[in-house]
Amino acid sequence: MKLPFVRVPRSLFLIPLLAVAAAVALRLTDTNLATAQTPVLTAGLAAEDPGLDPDAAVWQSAQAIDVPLTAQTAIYPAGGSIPLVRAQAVHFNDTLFVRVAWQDDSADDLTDAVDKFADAVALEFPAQAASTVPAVCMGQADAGVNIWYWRADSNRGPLTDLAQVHEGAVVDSLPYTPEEADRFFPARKAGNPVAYPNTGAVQNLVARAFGTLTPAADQAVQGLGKHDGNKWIVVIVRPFASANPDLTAFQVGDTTDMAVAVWNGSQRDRNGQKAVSQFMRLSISDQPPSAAPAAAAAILPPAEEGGLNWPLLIGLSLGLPIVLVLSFIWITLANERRAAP
Amino acid sequence: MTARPLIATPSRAAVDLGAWTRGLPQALVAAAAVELLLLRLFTRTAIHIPGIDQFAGPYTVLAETGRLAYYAATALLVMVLASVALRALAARSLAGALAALGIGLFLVGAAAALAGSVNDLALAAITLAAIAALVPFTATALGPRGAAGLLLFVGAFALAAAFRAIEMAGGHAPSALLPAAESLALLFALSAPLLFARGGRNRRLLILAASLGALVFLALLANAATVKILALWSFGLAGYFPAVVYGAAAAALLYAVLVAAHRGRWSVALGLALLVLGGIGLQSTYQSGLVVASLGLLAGRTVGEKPAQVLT
Repeated sequence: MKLPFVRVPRSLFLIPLLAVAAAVALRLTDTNLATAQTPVLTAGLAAEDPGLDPDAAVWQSAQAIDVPLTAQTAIYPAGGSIPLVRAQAVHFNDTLFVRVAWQDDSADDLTDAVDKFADAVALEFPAQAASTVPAVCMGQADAGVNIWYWRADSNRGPLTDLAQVHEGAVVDSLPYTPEEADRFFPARKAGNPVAYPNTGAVQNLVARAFGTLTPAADQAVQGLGKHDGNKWIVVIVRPFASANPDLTAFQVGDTTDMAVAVWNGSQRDRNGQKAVSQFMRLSISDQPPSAAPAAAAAILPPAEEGGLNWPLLIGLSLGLPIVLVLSFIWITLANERRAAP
Repeated sequence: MTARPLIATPSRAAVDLGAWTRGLPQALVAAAAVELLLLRLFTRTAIHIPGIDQFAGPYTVLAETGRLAYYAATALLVMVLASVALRALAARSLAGALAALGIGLFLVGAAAALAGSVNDLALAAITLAAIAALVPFTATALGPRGAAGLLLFVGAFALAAAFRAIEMAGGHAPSALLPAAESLALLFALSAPLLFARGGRNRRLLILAASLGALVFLALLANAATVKILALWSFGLAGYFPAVVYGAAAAALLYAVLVAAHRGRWSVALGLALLVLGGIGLQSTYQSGLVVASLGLLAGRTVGEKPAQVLT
């Protein structure tokens, strides 16, 4: 039996032309037909000030998402060092609190030699003045980024006595007056924030592409990290508002973009050698923190304590391939049965 | 009276829809490729070139071209999805009806997401359901080898998407899902010449494919940080494996596409190209739509192909 086929007029050649016309129309009206399916981190309204404590009670009920990172390595051809970082966020009294945690067996918080590098984490946001979503790689000329950069060695505090590390070291007294101090502290003279030991564990930085990373005049970002033996947990805090257009700002009801970068000092990660995520969406909600999105909670059973939803895990990870294979086998057998004489 | 088959085998599903698909898939692949090269890759790297301000004019022209290509690709994608759904319905089989239903569900879901009527988790479930619905229809058209390759890619997509969906639902997905997804994706790419372009060897195309593979390998060696973030952002690949694996995968996949096109198997060539452009995992409804469209194209044929089985 010959199946019918459909005749289509040759005017179908005009379809690509219509597509171009549609593209121009969409561009002029700035209408995007697609929707992002990237992760959304929702910062709920905390009932009390969580402070800088990574173990504050509010984090038990806050939504947590695991963000995949690029497998960065400094030693070819080994694999990546930090594959995932777990991010949570809440806000209280117009202040944003972001908690990030990642697996790292070694707490690299002592950089007392040139070949030692600190563990670190950074959060990147588009600047207020950005005209578009900036390139995740340190921004671009017309869309800068604001980076909150926490370092484990800054978290530990300044090394005040070199003799603690170098027992045989001898230091002569340096003949300088307070007016000549900058001559003997070139990093401080250059404005290197690491050279100021009392600025806190988090640097507030701005950038508009590679090579433009600069400390912001306003160093209002605070943070505290804790290593529990096999992972770092860091809380970074900043008020919503900022008058500086090169910095980011937040508002309840808004959604912005956020990326995460992690350095593993024992793997000699530093500078551009790091594990980076792509941008995720950060939504500032006026609702209390919830472990699961409200809409999802309505149609799914609540996640077990610890976060693992076993029914969903089994359903999505195993059920789909099983359905595919069974349907393929069923259809093939049915076809052969009907085709048999 | 001859019983109508439950599922139309490729030799029976010789519905000449060439007129429907003439130019459409090719235009979609061209637009999506330009979008990838200019928007997802060029604009994200060129801004870091020292002194790029001096070339503001050419940069702006290229960036706008990339944006127009994106909008054209989204418009063409809707048309291709509609044409593929009609072709699936015209096959008059259960698998065809299921495929058409999946495509329709995806289009409705994407529109609902645009209107804010459906949340991320539901959209993820719709995307996975649409792809699952297309698998039987496409697998039977491709035959055993092609179906094996198809399942490798779909498995990679499903694992990467499952990771994201579990997170959306408030759970914590096993971290092993991501490298597992990437492993399947690389295996799909490395086996593409064997599964989709078997028979004969074309030295010229081999050299062309090997050149791309070498370029990818060298780019990873030169600047792994930037290249890997681009791969994560554009294709959903985090770069867990050595650079040589990605170079070989790129070469193998390009060779399969070129050989299929050279032999006139445009449905395979265009379908594979769209799979690459879509990537694995859930990035956006645009990229997910490219994957859905690619599965539909792999099942059918465009002008110039014999009405026999898609793959010999």
